[in-house]
Amino acid sequence: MPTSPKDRAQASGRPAAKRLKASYWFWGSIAVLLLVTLALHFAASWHLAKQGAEGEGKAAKQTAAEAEAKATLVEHWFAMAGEEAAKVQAEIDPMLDKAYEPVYAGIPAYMDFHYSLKGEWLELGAAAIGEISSGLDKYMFAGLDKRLDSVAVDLGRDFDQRYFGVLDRAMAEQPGGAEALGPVVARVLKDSKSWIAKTGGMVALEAVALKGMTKVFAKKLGAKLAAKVATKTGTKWAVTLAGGGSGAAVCSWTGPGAAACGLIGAGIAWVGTDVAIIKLEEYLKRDDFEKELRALVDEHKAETRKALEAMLAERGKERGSAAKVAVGEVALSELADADRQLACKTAGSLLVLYAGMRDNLQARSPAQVAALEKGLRAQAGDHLLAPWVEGLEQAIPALDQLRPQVVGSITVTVEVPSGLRAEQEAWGKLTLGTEEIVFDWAEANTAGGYVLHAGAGEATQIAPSVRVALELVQDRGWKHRNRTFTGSASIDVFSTLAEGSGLAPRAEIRLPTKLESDNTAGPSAIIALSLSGVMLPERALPDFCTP
Amino acid sequence: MKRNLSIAFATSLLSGLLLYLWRLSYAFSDLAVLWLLLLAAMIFLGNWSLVIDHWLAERGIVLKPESWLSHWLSGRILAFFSSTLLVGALVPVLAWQVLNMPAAEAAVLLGLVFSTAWLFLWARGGVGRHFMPPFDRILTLGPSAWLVGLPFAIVLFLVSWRTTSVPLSMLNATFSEAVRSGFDALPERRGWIAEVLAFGYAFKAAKLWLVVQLRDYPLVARLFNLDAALFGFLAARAGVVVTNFIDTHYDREA
Repeated sequence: MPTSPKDRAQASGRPAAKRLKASYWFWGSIAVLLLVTLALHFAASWHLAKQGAEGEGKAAKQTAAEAEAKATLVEHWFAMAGEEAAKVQAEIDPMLDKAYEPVYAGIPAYMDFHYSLKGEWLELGAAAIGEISSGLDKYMFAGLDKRLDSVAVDLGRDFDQRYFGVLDRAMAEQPGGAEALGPVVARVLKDSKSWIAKTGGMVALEAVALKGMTKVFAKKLGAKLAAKVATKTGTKWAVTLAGGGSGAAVCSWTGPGAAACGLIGAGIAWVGTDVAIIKLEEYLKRDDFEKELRALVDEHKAETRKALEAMLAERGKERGSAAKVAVGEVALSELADADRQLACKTAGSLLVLYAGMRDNLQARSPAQVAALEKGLRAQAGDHLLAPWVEGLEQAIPALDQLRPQVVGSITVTVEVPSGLRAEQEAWGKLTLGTEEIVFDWAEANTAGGYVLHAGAGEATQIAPSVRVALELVQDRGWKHRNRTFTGSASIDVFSTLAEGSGLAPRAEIRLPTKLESDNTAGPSAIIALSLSGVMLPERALPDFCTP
Repeated sequence: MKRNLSIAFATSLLSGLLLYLWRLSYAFSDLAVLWLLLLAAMIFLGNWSLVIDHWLAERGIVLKPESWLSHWLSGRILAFFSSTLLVGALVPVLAWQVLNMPAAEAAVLLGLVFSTAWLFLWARGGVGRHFMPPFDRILTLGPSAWLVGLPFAIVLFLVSWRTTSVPLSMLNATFSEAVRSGFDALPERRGWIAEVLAFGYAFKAAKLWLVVQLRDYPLVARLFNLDAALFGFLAARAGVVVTNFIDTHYDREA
């Protein structure tokens, strides 16, 4: 007959008080395991914190928490790489200076050509066939496209070298290298690198964008030249007709040859007048035209800079997205919906850009518009998003229409240093791109400065990068001659607007001036402009994104 | 009743803590297998006593006690193989699942073990009024595991359906990349435990890849998630066996 556990205990001969039930052992074991768990938890936290301080990524990774830490680590690397690559922006200025050096150097040669009989006639002929900018191309812009392409290539290469340099270094410190991050992340990196090898990095896109800018610039300059040529031609026709008439009178003795003699006379008058007018114009306007030309080149250079900055920023964003895709996850139950979710996520980020542009003037800079358009183009082939993308593309007007307009009054507040105060009146003339705004005489205020007011007249569109020039004339009473101060600068209108500017912001441009006579520092002026922009239609997420 | 609850709690806590300690320490050392060995011992001994008691009861009916055959037909070989097979099937699956288990699934699993343990002990009390030992335990074991395993399998299926995450990058990954990403979850130090677990990771990654490729057919994803339900049954079986081990030793005096 089997003995009960109690009997077996009694049989062991130990006193009853010393006999412990196995249940105590079980609960004792549970208590010990709990303590060990707490101790291990503490040790694991300490170990991870220590590894974090020594340098990321050496933790053995297995648990879900560690997998999450790994994802964060990868994102951190991508962020560091993006920050490092963004430093390449500092190289834009010296590279652009080098690329534009021949353009500036070519200005005197172009001036000589422009104010020569040959140049005059060639430009006249070119204007007739709509190729007025050929002289500019020859003397100033020859090779600029290629040089800018090369700037884009170099910047792209440098961006990638820095970007992948950081990633490579971070991965080298990770035991197991890139593969340790998982084949998917490793493939994201591999794909990016092979994409660069295939396309030559940024060249394809940037070169097209920069060429477009140069074309627009040449067109703008060409229009200016055509206007000049037309004015001169009108004057010359008048003088030539007069010369032809006089010639016919002088040649009347030739009888039947009078007409031919008159024509020769007219020809001589034409050439003579042309040479005289060219020389006179050169004497009177060469310096101003040269300044204007330099200002336009400055403007073009600033626009090119903006475009390159935007392209680098866009490249950084693309890499950031790649990182997010590499470490992002979706639940098994949402899998059937993954494509739609991804499409909605993408549409959401594009719509945020569009809504920003719709509500804020500052978000309509060419760089931001280009970024949005690029994002839309990238999704144009997506079978879910294509119709929505098309609708959004139609809602974005051409860049020209997105330019800010100057509306309402313009105020110039002039702060005059104590040594230059005259307690008299002052007036001014403001040049905004091609628009001239003249201010009435205004009395000096109690601080010795001036506040000049003028209405902008009709709403005037201004270029994103605009040349602002101010001429300020200060009355100093009947004993002294008036003093003239001038100041000018190329201003990026969008950079003067704060984030979330709204559609009717007020832009303030601070402009230092110099005394015209001896170039010493003059008063500083704050030009306040009321701006506005066209209304854009409202757009919503695709229907399939709304529940 | 109080005893049943104590044993059910002890079963849940012991199993849960041992598995959690395994998960916690495997990130750092292969010695984490010691925690699994303790669990394996409980499963082995729990199953051993069930099999051998069953065998001895049947042998007592069919074999005369004075027969020299009773010395050879002790049932130890059967119990050893049966228990080894059970440990070999349950422990690696439990170990692998626990390493990748989200908190929600772990909570469900803990509830499953507690429910199985309590149902087994309660039902055994009822069955014990009519059946002789060890048949009270043998007859209770299967139905307890099924009665708790089935509803919990559904719960586990639903929880797993909502908590199992798929990397977005899997949408474009190739099969070999998916499998390699599965291996990537293994610790860098590798070792023999990793080699055993690699099968589980490869299976999971391949399953996810297939589910992702066939994402337009949610039924396929649901079918492939059925392994979560199967795991529920295995966990219920393990819970009953561990409960049996604790129950048979709980009142013994050491």
